[in-house]
Amino acid sequence: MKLALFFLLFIQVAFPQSKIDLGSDALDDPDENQYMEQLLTSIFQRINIETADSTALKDRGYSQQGIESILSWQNQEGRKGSTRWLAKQLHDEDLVLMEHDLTTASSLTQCQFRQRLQYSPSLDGWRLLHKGRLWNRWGSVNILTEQDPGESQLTDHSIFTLNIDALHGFQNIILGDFHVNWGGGLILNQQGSRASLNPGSLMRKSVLTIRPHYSSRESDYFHGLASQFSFMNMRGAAFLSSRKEIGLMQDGEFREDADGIHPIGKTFQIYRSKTLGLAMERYGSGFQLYGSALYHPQERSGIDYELGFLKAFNDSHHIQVFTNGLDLNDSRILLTWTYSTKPVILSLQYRRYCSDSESSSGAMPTLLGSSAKNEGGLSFRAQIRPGKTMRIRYALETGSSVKVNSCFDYRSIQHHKIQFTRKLNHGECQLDFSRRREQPIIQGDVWNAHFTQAEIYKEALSLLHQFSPNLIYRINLKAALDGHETAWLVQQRFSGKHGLWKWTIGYTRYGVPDYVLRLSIYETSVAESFSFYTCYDDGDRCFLYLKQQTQNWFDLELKLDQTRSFDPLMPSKQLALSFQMSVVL
Amino acid sequence: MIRIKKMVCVCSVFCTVIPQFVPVFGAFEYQGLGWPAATANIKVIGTHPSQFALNPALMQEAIRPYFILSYQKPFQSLNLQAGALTILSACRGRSTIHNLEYFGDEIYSELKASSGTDWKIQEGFKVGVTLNYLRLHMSGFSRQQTVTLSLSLLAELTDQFKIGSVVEHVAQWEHGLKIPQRYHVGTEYRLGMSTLLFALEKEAALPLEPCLGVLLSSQSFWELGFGYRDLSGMLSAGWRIHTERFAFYYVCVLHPQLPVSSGFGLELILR
Repeated sequence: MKLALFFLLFIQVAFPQSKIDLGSDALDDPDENQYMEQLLTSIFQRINIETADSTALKDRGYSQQGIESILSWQNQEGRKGSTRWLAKQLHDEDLVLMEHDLTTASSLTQCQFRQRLQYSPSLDGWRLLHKGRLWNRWGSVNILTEQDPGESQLTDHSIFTLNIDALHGFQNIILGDFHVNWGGGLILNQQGSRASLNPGSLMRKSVLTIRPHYSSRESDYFHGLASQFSFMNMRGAAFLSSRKEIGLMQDGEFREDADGIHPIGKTFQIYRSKTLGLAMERYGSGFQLYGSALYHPQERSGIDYELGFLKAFNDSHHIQVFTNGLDLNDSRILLTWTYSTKPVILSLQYRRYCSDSESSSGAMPTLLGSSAKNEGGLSFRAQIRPGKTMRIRYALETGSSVKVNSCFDYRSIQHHKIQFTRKLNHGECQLDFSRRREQPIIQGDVWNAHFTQAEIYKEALSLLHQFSPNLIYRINLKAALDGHETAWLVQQRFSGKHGLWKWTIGYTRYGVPDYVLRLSIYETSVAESFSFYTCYDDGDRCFLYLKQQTQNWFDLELKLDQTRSFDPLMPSKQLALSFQMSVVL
Repeated sequence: MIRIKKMVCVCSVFCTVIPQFVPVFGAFEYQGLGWPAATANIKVIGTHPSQFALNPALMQEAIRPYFILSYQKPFQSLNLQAGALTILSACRGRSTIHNLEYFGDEIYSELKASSGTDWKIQEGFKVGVTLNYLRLHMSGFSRQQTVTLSLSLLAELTDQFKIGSVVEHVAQWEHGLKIPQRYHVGTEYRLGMSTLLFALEKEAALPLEPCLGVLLSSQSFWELGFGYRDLSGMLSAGWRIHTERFAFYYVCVLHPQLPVSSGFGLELILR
C-alpha cells in the first residue's frame, strides 16, 4: 500500500505533463512509446524545423531574420523548398541551429544491418564483418565487429558507439569510438580525405568535426567521450579518449598496426593512448577564429595547440591560415587561398612543416611521406570550364626538405597533373596526364659526385558510353613509364540492371613490372579494384559483381574476382570472393 | 585442422593431467546428435526445434508446447554419453526456447543451458537472442563456467528461400572459461518434398567450413536427412518418424578418423 501511494505521488511530482490531452485512442490503449516520447521531448526539447511556428523557433534561439526565412521556406516547394536554399538564407548561429535541427529531423526509427564474408588469397583466409546501425531523431547506436584471417576472435575489432544528437546546445554527444577532424590537422593524427584534383579539396570546409567511427579501420580513431556544442557566436568541441592500440615496436618506437591484422604467433604489443582535446571556434560575418589544444601525455609532456584564421572576403575569395606555433623554426604552417567563380576555380596552398617530430599519417597533406620530419611546398589547383561540356583541371604539388641536418636528409618532389573531361552525347571522355619528379641524394650519388632523379610519367584515357539507360560500357587505357620500364593497363567494364538485378562484368589486362608503378593508383573505382589485393607483374583479372534486391529491405551482393598471372613464379590462378548481405529497415 | 581439433576434443576427456587448461579450446566442441545432425548438423537454418536453440529467430509465431528428449552415444568406444532436453513454449505471447545439454562422463563433463527468444522486426525479418550458461567440470580441478550471449537473424525472402545467420558467444562474462566464438550463415531452399540446406560455419581461429544437407520429407509421417561437412569430412544420415503428438528419430555420423556416432531422440508435442 505504501509503495502504491509513493508511486502515485511520484507520478504527480515527476510527470506534470500527464495532464496533456492524449486523445481518446491513447487513453483507451496507453502506449509505452508515447510516454517515452514525451519524456524524451521534455528532456531534449526537440523541435521539428519543418513544422515549427514562430514561437517555437524563437524559443529555440533563432533570430528574427532567421525565423522569417524558415517560415517562408516551410511554404515553398521545388528549389526554394530545399534545405540547401534555406542554408543560403541563414547565417552564423542560425545556420548552426538549422544544421543541427535538420540532422535530427527524421522521426522514424531506421535500422541497417550488414554481414560480409570476404576471401582473398593475399589474406590467406576469410574476413568476417558485421555492421549494425540503429538511429532515429534522438541519436544512433553503431555496432561493428570484424575478424581478419589468423585472428582468434570474431570480435577482434569491435565497436559499440552511442551517439546522442538531440540535446539542446549540443550538436552531438558520442560515447564510444569516434573520429576527430580539427583545423588543418597539424597536431592531430586524423582520418580524412586526401587533396584531389578538385580545387575545393585544399580548403578545410569544417574545422570542428567529431563523428562516430563506423568502419573496420583499426587505427586513427579515439575511444571515450566526445561532444560538439555551440553557444552565442561560438562553436566548440571536446573529447576525452583512452584507447588501446595494438602494434609493433620498430626501431624503439611503437607503431600501431595500421592494417589491423593481428595473426596468432606474432608478438604484438598493447599500448594505451590517452588524449584530451578542446577546440573552439568564434565566427562572425565573414570570418572565423579557431583554436584547439591537445594533451597526450604518453607522446608529449606539454600541450599541443593549433590556431586558425578563416576569412571570406566575398563569395569568391577565401583564405585559411593554420599554425601550431609562433616560432617559424619549429612549427607547422598551412596557408590556403581560393578564388571561385562559375567558369574558373583557383586554389593555392603553402605549407611549411618544421618540427622535430614526424609528420602524422592523418589528413595533413604531405608529399615526402609521413616519415619526413620537415617539409615545405606548394599545392596549386585550377579548374576551368570553357563550355558546358568541357572541364579542364590542373594540379601542381611541390615538396622539399626545409631543415637538412645532412645531405642524406634532402628530398624534393614535383608533381604536375592535368585532366581534360568532356561530356559526350551518350557518355564521357577523360584524358589524364601527370609527371612526378623526385630528386633524392643518396650515399652513392655523393660519392659519385652526381645527382640522380627519378621521373614517372602517367597517361590515362577513359571512355564511358551509355548504350541504354540499363547498359553502360567503360574502357580505361593507362600507362606509366619511369625511363627504364613501362607499366600498362587496359580495363573494360560492362554494367547493367535488369529488374531486381544489377550486374557488372569486367576484364583487366596489365603488365606492371615495378612496385613503384603499382596498379593500385590506376584502379579508379571499387568496381574495378573490388577492394581486393593489388596486381603486379604480367597478368589479367576478370570480375563479376552481382546485386539482387530480393525485397525492398534486403540486398544480396556477390563479387567474384579471378586473377591470373603469366609469371611462372606466381600462382597461376587466384580466386577472390566477397559475399554481402544487407538489411535496411 | 578440424580433424585435429576433433581429436583434441575427444582426447581432452582423458587429459586430466593437463596442468593448465585456460582457455580450454577443446571444450564445448561437441555439436550434439539431435535431428539436425542428420543434415550435417546445420542448425542456423531449418524448421526443427533443435535448431531453434541456436537460432531462435527460426521459431514460428503460433507455437505449441514442444518437448524433445534425446540420448546420444558419441564415438561409441569412448564411453562418452550425451543428452539434451529441449522445451519450446510460449510465454506472454512470446515464443521461447530452453535447452539443456550434457556431454561427458564421470571424469569430464560439459553442461550447457540456454534460453532464447525472438522479435519480429518486419514481415519476413526476425532477430533472436540467446543467453547461454556453460559449465565445465573436470575431476580434480575447480569448476569453470561462463555466461554468453548469442545473436541471430532470419530473413524469409520467399516462401521457398530463407537465410539465417548466428553469431555465437558474441559477448561473454567468463569465470575461468573462455568459449570460442562461432559464426554461422545458412540458406534453406525448398523444392517440393526436398529441402536443400547450405551453411558456412566459422569458429574463431579455424578455417571456414562449408556444410551441405538434404532433407526429404513426405507429406505423411517420415523424413530422411543426409549431410556432409567439408572440412572435417563428416558424413551423416538419419530418419525421423512423426505423428501429431510424437516424433522419433535416429541419426548416424561417420567421422573419417573416429568411431561412428549414433543418436536417438523422442519428441513430445502438446496441444
